[in-house]
Amino acid sequence: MTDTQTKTNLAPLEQIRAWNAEKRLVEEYPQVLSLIRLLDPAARASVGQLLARLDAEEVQRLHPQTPALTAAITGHSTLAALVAPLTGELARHGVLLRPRVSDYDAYARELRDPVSEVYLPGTDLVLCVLDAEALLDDLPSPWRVEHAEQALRAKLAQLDALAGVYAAHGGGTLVLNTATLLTRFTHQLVDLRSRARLGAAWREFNAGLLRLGDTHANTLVLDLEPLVAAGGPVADARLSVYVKARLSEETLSAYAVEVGHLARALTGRSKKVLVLDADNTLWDGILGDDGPEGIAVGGSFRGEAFAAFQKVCRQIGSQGVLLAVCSKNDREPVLGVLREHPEMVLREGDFVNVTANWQPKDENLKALAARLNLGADSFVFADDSPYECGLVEAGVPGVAVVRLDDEPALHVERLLVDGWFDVRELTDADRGRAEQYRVEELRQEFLDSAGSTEEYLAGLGVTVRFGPPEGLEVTRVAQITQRTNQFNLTTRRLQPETVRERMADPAWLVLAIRSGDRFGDNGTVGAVFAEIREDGLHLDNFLLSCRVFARGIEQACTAALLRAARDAGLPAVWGEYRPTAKNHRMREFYPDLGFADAGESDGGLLFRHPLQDVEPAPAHVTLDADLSGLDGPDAATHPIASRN
Amino acid sequence: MATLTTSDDYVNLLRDLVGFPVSPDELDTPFDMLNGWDSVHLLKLVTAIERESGVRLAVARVLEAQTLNEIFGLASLA
Repeated sequence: MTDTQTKTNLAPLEQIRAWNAEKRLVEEYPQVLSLIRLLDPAARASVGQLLARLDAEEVQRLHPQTPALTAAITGHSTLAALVAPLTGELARHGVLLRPRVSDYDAYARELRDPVSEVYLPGTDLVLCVLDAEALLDDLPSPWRVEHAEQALRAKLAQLDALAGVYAAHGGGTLVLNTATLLTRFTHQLVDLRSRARLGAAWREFNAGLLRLGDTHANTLVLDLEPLVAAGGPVADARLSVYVKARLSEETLSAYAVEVGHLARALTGRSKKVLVLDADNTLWDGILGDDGPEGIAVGGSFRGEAFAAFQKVCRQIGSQGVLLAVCSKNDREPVLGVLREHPEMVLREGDFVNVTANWQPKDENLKALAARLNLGADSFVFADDSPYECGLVEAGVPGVAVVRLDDEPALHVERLLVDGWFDVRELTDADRGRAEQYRVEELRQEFLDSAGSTEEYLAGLGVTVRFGPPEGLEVTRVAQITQRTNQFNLTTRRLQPETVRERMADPAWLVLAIRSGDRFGDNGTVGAVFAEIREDGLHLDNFLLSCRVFARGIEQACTAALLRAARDAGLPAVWGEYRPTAKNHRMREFYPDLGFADAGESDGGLLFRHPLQDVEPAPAHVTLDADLSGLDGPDAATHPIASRN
Repeated sequence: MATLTTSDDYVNLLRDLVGFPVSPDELDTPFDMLNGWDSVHLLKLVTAIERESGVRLAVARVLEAQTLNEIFGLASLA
């Protein structure tokens, strides 16, 4: 066996260590990312320790497509130990971490001061890690419960004020966390009445803290209590006392896992589809062997566990995640169970697709991704068979695999231990997404029956409304910038507050795209952000959901913008394309619409339309556009336009 | 639970569980001369020794130790 062959047979962790010993981690970085996904949290942390020593600049120079996040880590305790697990968790999601650890107990000073480290431009996350000592450090000695109550109220007010400063001056997301009350505090009070009061005051603090996420748009609060309850000790008293490391390795690891999923959501890669095996995943038994009467969901100890798992899947599905079945079975019996089995919680209509055949599951997943027009890397696949899990893990890049086993009571925890579907905020569009994809299946059938594309489009009856977002639609528009990867010309991801700021700025146009057709309403499917400058209208970004590609919607909206810009007397419309791993199909978007090359922008290509020859909108699209943001006496002499 | 009796075991533990590869002769190098050693490694070393050998270390004395071998000595005494 040659040297290379030996290496490919190494277990993932050993392989990564071997590369580290050979100083090849930077070179092999993409391979490290694909291997780290196979590891458990402890092993991910030890890989994180190796990766944290790499020069992030060098990694990005060699692998420029790697998404990166800069995190300022601050708090009340020694937090250097958070860097390794955090680096490992972000790497697991394909994100390069650029960490900046603040001095011990610097959080209040830093957050108060808008020119401190945590406010440096380009800081995506400010992780302000709180612990019990952070809240009760200022107690007098000896202390009574009244002192603790007062200290907790004061601390909450202080954090509220700090989050307010961050809301006004911070450019990223401030992450706070609940703290766990320890016996080393409660049991210093010997009377049970006082001890109970301390517990109440503590929970009031945590509850108030959790609500700061509602008052300050760019603050998120992670609830560590359920994680600590599921995991190991919160703290090691010796390390807490001697080196002021207030949180244990286990707690920091659980915290890092949560931040990893947050990073995934912030970089627009939340999972969108949950693909479930059927036999021994959705129900107890093998349908092909045991028959529909022989399988169980409810009605027995094990059956109850499967019913509970199905309920959790339905719960996930009610929040914008598409559910699908991928089963090695004949199709008809599986559909029979989904339609008729009396105990089933999930029914055929709960799934956007039911694939039951004898093809390899990795192939089935790829086919499903193509059918839904989604990347297979937005899939989570859950199966009790180690063979199928391994096959899908190896065969479908980027898919997250939830390894279930023969203990169905653990299915729920296994699925939920990772927040694969975490998003910052849920919109009405999310809740209705599954229904829209089911309608999409109908549309697909209509397409299959139409003779030509033209015939299909003419019969589809596409309607588009193009104008400023209304009410809650702002959240949806921000979310489109967060979640859209393919039809996203510049991949500038925006938080709702930035969208609102631009809407309030007369120099900016923020436009939502809503579409519908004979099968129903698609809802808000896209957005355009544009800035009026002296030399014309600059399209900062153009986004459209992959569900409605290639129906003439993008052409109709562009034609409307070009006409409106010309009518407003602007000299040109400018477009920009910034390449990412996902949006390469959009390289020719502007040239195809009559824009000419106009050089390079910072990290992208510029295009310019001189507005002499404006193509009409596609005839099959009925467009209702409100571009009044471009009107006014003369947009070219707009007060804001002349500031450049 | 793995054994932690010989210097080789200790070197392996440092490499695999602490993420700090050292050669056996570096075990007597003072920490301030030990390239790349930091407080995070020290915390991980305490956790790793306790987890692997089942002993409880006197952490305050670990913090005062000057070399990796001194800590190994504390683990053997415990």
